[in-house]
Order: sequence, then C-alpha cells, then structure tokens
Amino acid sequence: MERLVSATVGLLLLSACAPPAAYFGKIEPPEGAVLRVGNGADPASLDPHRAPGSVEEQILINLFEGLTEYDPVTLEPIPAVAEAWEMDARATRFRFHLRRAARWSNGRPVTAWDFVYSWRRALAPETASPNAYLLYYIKNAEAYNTGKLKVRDRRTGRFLTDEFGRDLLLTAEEVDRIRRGEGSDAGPRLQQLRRHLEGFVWEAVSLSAEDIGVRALDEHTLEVETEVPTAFFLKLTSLGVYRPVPREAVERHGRAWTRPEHMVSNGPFRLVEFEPGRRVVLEKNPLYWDAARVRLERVIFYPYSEATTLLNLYKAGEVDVLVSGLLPPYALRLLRRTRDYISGPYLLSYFLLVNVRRRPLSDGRVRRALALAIDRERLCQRLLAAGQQPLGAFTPSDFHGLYPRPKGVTYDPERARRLLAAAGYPEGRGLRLRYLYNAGALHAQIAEALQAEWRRVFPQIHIELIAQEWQVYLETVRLGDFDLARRSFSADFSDPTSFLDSMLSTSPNNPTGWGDPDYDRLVQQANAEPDVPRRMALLARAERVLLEDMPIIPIYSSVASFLRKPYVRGWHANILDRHPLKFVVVERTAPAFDLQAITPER
Amino acid sequence: MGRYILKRLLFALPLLWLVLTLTFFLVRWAPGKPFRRERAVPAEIEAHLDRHYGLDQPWPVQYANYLRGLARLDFGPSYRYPEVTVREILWRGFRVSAPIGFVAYALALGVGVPLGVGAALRPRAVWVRALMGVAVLGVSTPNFVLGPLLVLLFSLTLYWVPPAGWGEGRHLVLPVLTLSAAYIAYIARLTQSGLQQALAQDYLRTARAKGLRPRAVLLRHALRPALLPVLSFTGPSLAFLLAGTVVIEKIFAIPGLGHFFVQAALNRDYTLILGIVSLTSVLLIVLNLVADIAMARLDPRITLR
Repeated sequence: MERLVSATVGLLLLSACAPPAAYFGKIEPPEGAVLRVGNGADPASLDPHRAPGSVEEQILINLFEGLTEYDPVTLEPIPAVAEAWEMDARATRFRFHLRRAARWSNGRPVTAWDFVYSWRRALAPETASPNAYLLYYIKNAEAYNTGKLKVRDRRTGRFLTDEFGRDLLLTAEEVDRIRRGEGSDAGPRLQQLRRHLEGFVWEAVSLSAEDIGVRALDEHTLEVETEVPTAFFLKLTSLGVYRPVPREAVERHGRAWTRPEHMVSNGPFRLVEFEPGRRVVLEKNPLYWDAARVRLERVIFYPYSEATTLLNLYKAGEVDVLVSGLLPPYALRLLRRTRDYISGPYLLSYFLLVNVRRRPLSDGRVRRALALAIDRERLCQRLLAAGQQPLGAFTPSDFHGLYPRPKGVTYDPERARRLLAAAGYPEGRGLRLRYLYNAGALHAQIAEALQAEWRRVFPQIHIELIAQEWQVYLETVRLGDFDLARRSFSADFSDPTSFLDSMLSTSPNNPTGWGDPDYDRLVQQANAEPDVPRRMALLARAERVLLEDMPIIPIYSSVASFLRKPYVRGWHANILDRHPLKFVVVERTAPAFDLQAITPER
Repeated sequence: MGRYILKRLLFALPLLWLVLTLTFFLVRWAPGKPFRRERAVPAEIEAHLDRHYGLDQPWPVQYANYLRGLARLDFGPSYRYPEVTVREILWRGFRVSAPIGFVAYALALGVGVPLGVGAALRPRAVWVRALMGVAVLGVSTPNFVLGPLLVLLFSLTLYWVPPAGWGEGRHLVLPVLTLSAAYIAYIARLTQSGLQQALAQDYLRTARAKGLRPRAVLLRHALRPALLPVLSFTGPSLAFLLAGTVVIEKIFAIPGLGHFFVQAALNRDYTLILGIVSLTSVLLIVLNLVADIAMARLDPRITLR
C-alpha cells in the first residue's frame, strides 16, 4: 500500500514537473535491455574459486549459480540450483535436492557431482584459492586444504577432538615433534597437545579430497556434512567460492577456461567479452532454467576506479548504476539531495587495530582511554557525509534483531582522562603513539580528526600520523609494526561470526598481538551451537570480552551508498552490496520508473 | 649507415638487460605481494598462492626462469590477472595508447609547425600573437586541469562527446585534444626559433640573390634546418606518447599502457611491470634511433658513425 502511494505521488511529481530536476544528469534508458554498471576495478579472475573479492563476486554470481542465491533485498538464501533442502536437528548434515531443469550453457545438466567436483577443486592446494577458508566449515575441508593431519584413536577408530567437539588438527611438524617426545621447551601449544594425547594409542591421518564431507547420493541429491554443527551453513552456499565450475572446460583448457571462448557457465548470464581495463560483457544465457524470468539481455561492467570519472559517466548517461563505495567524498553532500542517491546499512566496520605487544598500549587502561575520548557522533556528522553511523562495538549490525549486540564504548572524556592519568599519563603527558594508515583522502581526514579528538581530551598527547602506500601499509600491519592502525573489515556473509572470527588469537587478520582464551572459547563454542538464540548469546558474550579488553577501537559502521538511474529497477541497497542481476530490470517508459529512489535527508 | 644502426642496436641490448634486471629486483624488493588484499588469508593458503605464482623460490631462480622465458619473448602470465598473459595486455594496451599518441602528435605537428612558421615570419601580426598566447596557455595548463575542463564543457554541459571510456571514435576527441595542447605550443616555439635563426643565415641571402622564389627559399632552404630541433624532440616525445600517458588514461578511463603501468605498480604485478618497462625501453631506443637517422638525412652536416 505504502509502495502504491509513493509510486502515485512520484508519478504525479513526474508529470507535474517533467523532466524531474531532482535527478543527477541525463535520464535516458540505453537502447535495448542493457545495464551498464560501474564496478570499480578489473576482476582479477573470473574463476569462482580463484576470484579474491567483491569486485569479482559482483560479476561471478551472475555467471555461476550456486545451490542457493541471494535474495536481492535481504540476501537470505533462496532456491537456485537446489529447489529444496533440509538439515538435521544438530545442524551437521544438510541435504540439497537439485532442480532437474538446471543446465550448463553447453546443454549438459547440472548434477550433484558438479558440486562434489567443484568443492574438491576449490579446496585442492594446487588451486590456490584465496577463499578456500570459507569452505572450512565442511567436514575435513580444512585438513585437506592445509595438509594438516587429524588424530585417530587406534582402539576405537574415532578421531580425537578438542574441548569444543572439533577434530584435532596437527601440522606434520607438530606430529613429528610429539613423536620425538620433545621436552618442555616445546611451546605451550605442543605441551597442551601432548597432555591431550596422553593415554591414547593414536595415529596421525592425512585427509584426501574423497574425505571431504560432500557426497552425491544420486544425480540430483547432494549431502553435506559439516565439521561441527553449523547453523548458518545456508548463508554460505550463495558465496562465490561455493558455486560450481564446469569440469569439462576446466580440464580441457586449464587456466584459460575462463576466457569468453572457453567458458561454460550455469547462471542466468554467460560471458561474451573480457577486456582488462575496458569492460566485461555478459549476455543472457538462453539455456538457464529460469531464463523466462531474466529481463536483461546484456550487462556491461566498467572497471573504472577514478571516482570523478565514474560520476561524469553517470551524469552523462553512459552508466546506469554504480556499485557501493565509488562516490567521490567531496560530492556526497550534493549527491545526497538527488533522487539517484540510494543508501542503506552495510556490513563494514571501520576501526583501529591496537598493538597490545607494545608499551604503553599493553596497558588496557590506555586503550580504553583512547577509545572513550573519541566523539564518534561529531566525527560522523562532520566528516562522513554518506550517513555512516557511530560504532561502539566491533560488529556493525544487530542482524535484524537476532543478535544481542553489546553497546560497546561511548564518548566519555571524563572517564578517559581519569583512566589515562591512572595509567601514568595525566593529560596525555609522555604518551607518544604512531598512527598508521594507507594514503587516501578519507583515511587521512579521519586520522587528522582522531588526532584532534585525542588532543581535545588529552592536550599533551603526541600522535604521529604515518601514511603509507597500500601494499606497504598491508605489509607493515602484517608485521605488527604500528601502535595504532586504521582498518576496515567487511563481512563475507551476514553473521556476526564473519567479524568475530577475525579476532581469534589464531586469525591472520589479528595482527594486534591480542589473544584471549575466553574469547576463543566462546566463539568456538558458539559456532558449534545448533540453537540460534543460544549461539547468538554466546557470540555476544565473546564480543563483550573483546570490547572489555579493547585490542580494537571501533569508529563507525559504513553504509552502502550509490547512484542508480530511475529506470533501473530491482537493484537494492543491501548489507553485503550484492546484486543478482536476474532480478534487475531496465524500464523503457517513464511511468514504470522506480521513483522510490528518495532517501530522506538525515 | 648500416654499420651505425647495427652498432646502436648492439649497445641497446646490454642497456635493456640492465633496465630489466634492476626492475626485476626492485619490484621484488618493494614491500607487498601481487595477491595481498586487506583481508589476510590463513598462512597455509598464502603458501599455496606463493607456490602457485612461483614466488616460493629464491630470487635468483625466479630471475633465471624469467630470463629464460624472455628469450622466447614470453613475459609469462600477469600475476594480477592470472588468466591473461602479459603479452596480451601489452598488445591490447599498445593498440589503445598508440592511436591516441599518434593522432595527438600529428595534430600537434599539424597545428604547431604552421603556427611557428607564422610566428617567425610575422611576429607582430595580431592573429599570430593571439594564437601563440593560446598555445602558451596550453603548455602551461597541466593536463589534469585541462582534461576535466574540457569534460565539463563538452560532455557535461553540451553533451557532445562522452566524458570517458574507450571503443568508438567519439572517445578519442577529448583525450587527443588534452594531450596535444601541450605539444602544440612546444612545437610552435621550436619551429619559430629554428626558423628565425635559419632566416638570418648567409646561405639564405645567397638563395634569394640567385633569384629563387621566396616560397622555395622558405620551404627548401629555411624550413629544413629549422625543423631539425622539432625532429629531435619528436623521437622521445613520440616514444612516451605511444607508451601511454598515465594521467590522461586515468582521467578518461582509457585501457592503455599507462593505465596498466600504474595498476601493475600498485598491485605489485611483477610480470606486467617488467613487460611494460621493456616495451617502453624498446620504443624509446628505437624511436631515438629513427630520429637520429632522419636528422642525418635532412641535415647534410651530420654524418652517423
């Protein structure tokens, strides 16, 4: 009803003052059912298993269809190659019923064997998939991909588990050292393992591709077994790395199978052109099982990264929609007043990594004082014009009310001063910190604003700002050579785990030197918990531990914000900025335009 | 002459080797890796990636492998776009950058030389002074200012030509205009001063005295030596233009060599960096040689040894 009313109002507006001046630039739908997307960069690879990130994912999800597809608004899994599925009560066994009509673009049916082959390939060490870790939830997947060994009790034939019911995973080196009975100087993990294995007659087992927990029961039934209960498994099956690849093309052409002349795909579109630096062109796949529903005939992805250039192209009517995050910050205040501007919540946290290995940041009071001294409200209003929200916690969302997210840190200069004085730095005297960021207008502005915030509360603090080129910055962070370093982290899938996993003591994304056994235990325990509310409560407890210790200082949560011409329908703002083009329509006549594209001014 | 060319080319080979060797080790020395992203991957996956790219081997081994490939003119696959070869990217980029460079330089010559001649012959004429003024403005306006100004006028106000992109003739207009602006003024200046010097020479008085028509004097005797500086300027300029112009290609989203060079450096795409460096070096060497030979042809005082 609400939709109808605003559509009518929009129509009236349109007829009253045509052409509507509230739009940015030309409004002329392209010839034919074509969509032109500003995508921000070239895809590094069009192989769903080798593609590293969201630029590629944006294209790939339209070429390859997984068991499930993203709902274009909520991103919840909807039936795709799988038309139905069930899971057992413990959330460890999932059975997918594949649609008989699903075809590859060469006419061959898509079968359960395709998924078995594809997931084994994605996990094969030779494939070198950067996203293989997203498949580690499947039984034996991590062991196979990393070459680690599981430990079997020779008397019962069962694998030995850790305290969370997870199978033990040891490197070959660890097994060796335990066998040789190395002494007490072997490090805490090894000692712990030795204690754990005492009293067992055990053998180390290496796992092969056939051991991975995915089986075809018949042509159209796929069964997946997970390592531990994984209640959120269905959020994963839409991810690019879970999508199938065509065995015949991969085996025949090797690395060149993704070239337009060789590629076989099973999604709503097929690849017709890839010219690095210029464009990627997709065309409707006539053999797709749901082709009747696909309204676009042709989609062009432009890889341009220069924000001003993209904005010019958009204004001149050469581009119909931009993916999120490509608008030049200087133009945001102007663009927000246009009807082309769409924004919505986005799962991205902007925060600072704190190096807890170094004095004085090893003192929790100093970390907390720094976090309390930032007026995030002011920062967001002054600096971040896209509508970013102040963030006191690590996770940027409560996931539609499912997740009891802790409130986290707020602005409290009085407490900040007291804490810092108690730590031996009254007014910030003697406190010198190096703040690392990657060179770029926005990061520099935020760094300067934070410097000012801290100086306001601690007049004698000394913050040195260090800007580095992107790759240098990544390396410096990796090596832990910083006091504070800016960081943003976006979710792989819509679940708090996607954030909280990154602060586990073993995570490669945690260069802070912080590790807390309680935190690790709570996250692991939560992720083996089949009951959703209980699982969320455990995760929230873990996040509270994290925020209590403050190895990260949250700053803001981002928004998805982009421009979209009114004749494009079905392209929505959503929390992962994923846009399945199967649902997108380019309208030809003004009455059908999507006039809801009005974001209320905040 | 043949011996001279051979000698120059023989000198070029060690030069090329030196450039490539330095580049090879410098890019590896720079922090970072081709496949590093903000999201770090588990150590085992990083190890798979290293092995996949051959980066797990010691530098000398990588270097030897690279030289072996190079001997067969195989630059290897791009590290950033592993499904595309460097040779392919070079070829594609060159086919984009070269036409822009050629057209822009031809335009610069076509406008710059007559303007310079006019300026030398009638230095006080109003139209000459006005045009020279515009040309000087052109050379002193950086292309990252001029480009967006042209976009603002022709693409976003008049909607005549697209503001960026590549593939059709209309995409050429703005980048070529922007690119040639700086060269027009420079070439005009070079022509003007060369011609003014030539006109003051004794042999011109002789030519006039023996009754040659002024037109023939100008074209055959004065202009030939006057264009020598333009010619020597053309060699390196054209090499740089053909190898792609970073700023222009960025502003106008042109998939040329300059674009890939910047991307490759930012992405630590080792093989692509090396490929572009070698192509640029070869272009520079060859075009300088061609310019020298042409000079010798035009100027009887120069002999190549």
